[in-house]
Amino acid sequence: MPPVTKRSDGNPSDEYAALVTDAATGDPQSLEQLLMKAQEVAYRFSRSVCGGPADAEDVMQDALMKTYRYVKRIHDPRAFRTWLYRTVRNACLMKRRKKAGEPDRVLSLDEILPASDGRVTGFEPAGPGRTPEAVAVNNALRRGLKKAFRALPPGYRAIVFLREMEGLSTREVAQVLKISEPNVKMRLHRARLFLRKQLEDQ
Amino acid sequence: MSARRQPPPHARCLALLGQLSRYVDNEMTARERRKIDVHCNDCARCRRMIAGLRRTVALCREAGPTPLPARLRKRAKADIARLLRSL
Repeated sequence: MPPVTKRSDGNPSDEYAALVTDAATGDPQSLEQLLMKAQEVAYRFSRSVCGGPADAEDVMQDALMKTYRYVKRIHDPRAFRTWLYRTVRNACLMKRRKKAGEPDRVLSLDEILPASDGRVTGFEPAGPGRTPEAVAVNNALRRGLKKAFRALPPGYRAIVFLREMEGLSTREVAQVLKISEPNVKMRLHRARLFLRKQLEDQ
Repeated sequence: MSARRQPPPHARCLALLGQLSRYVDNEMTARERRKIDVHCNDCARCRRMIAGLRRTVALCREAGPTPLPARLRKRAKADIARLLRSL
């Protein structure tokens, strides 16, 4: 009979913690599930924030081995989720340093403020419904977001990815990136303004 | 007849711009929120800015996680099986 661990009510950090606890007590299915999740996170982070597919495969291998070792010496299962993202980010940074890739930079005011004539236009979705027009407008917005996201400097891209796309809390993002919570909020705000402006300009 | 130009961004709008993420994330006190609501009653530009920010956040959240491609999923499973067999 597999070990019984109290499952969370949908909080991802608690779900990871339950898997780590079960895996550490010898449940092979939990260990397999955890190792697969680690590789999925590594792939998503690497593809979204760092580099190309070849890098993603290397980062996945790294996450697999390190997660396995983590489970063997686990102290705090609840810290696993942030540990995993931090580990994956560090692996990506190492890759980028080796290739002297995309430099990080600070977003300028010109990139986030409204146009100098004060123009602020909308880019509302086509509204509810699955009419061909609504689907086309919403697909164009999604493509626009993808392009705008790619144009963000890497430091901001990591914050948008972790906070908005992966659903980490501000505190978790701060722990992953080793910066203060106010800094996470400030950078997230600038990144949102940048994305909004890019979507407006498209 | 020349086209009417919009005035430059009002200083009040620029001052509020830095707070709009807290507004859309519902992290403001009722008093702070009310100040922005009152300003927006007369400022279409800030209303559009808030709507745009909300839509940007929603688009990011809707984007969701990128699924692992089938080829990599197969390889990941094989790597896990190999690792567990080697124990």
